[in-house]
Amino acid sequence: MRTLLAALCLALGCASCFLARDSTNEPLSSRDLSKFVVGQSTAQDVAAAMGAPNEVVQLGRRSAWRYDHSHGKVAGLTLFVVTFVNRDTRTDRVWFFFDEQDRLSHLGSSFEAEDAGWAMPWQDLSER
Amino acid sequence: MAGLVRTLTLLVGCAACVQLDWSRERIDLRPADAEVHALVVGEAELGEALRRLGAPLEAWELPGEGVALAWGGLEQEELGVSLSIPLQKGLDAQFDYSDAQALVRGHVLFFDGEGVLVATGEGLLDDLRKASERRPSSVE
Repeated sequence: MRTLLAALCLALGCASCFLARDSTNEPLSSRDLSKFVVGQSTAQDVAAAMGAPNEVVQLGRRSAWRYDHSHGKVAGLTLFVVTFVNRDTRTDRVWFFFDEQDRLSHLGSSFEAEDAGWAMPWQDLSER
Repeated sequence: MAGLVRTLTLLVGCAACVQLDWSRERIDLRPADAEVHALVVGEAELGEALRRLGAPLEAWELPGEGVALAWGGLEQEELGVSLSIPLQKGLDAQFDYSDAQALVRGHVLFFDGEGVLVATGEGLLDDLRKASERRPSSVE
């Protein structure tokens, strides 16, 4: 019994954990978008204010530009021979849609990068 | 004392050779089904879809000046036994959608040239895209 207790104590002593985070691109903000007006702003206005997009998609004679920023959080726990790892990544993403004259026709945005959370695999983050 | 040494040796040996891993990876969230189903085929427009669902993951061209927009998220869980140090794909800081595109599930909305919703699809985004995509138009 004493041997088992000593082994358990050692195992607990060997436990380790780590936290890590990473991100891609600069954060986006809804304030950045307030300067754009559908039907008036042009692709040139967007490029001047936002810089180069992460992706340009040709849609026939029209086009769409994507900007994004992602934020990931990784949490891990090792208990001797058992390892738990959870990674949660959320993204800020903005799409600008332009018509044939390169005028802004639609704009779609989501800002969720700050919602990335630390968790273990058994925890549900979907309701955050 | 001999028992303790034997137990310690066994534990250390096990730790060096065997690892049990439980990992979970989530990238973004799928939009709620109710939000997607609230968009009526033949009535909903592209602007309404963007307002309800936010920015899509992907956009691509369809025949006849149409456009497809995809929303989705990745959630995968792995439980395993490994015989090596447990550094796995989920820990790679460069992991992104391009690595896991084939696993992302979600919704695709198809719009005609006037921006009216004409069809919807649900499932693996990669499959839905391959089934509907066409080569980009030549630019005049």
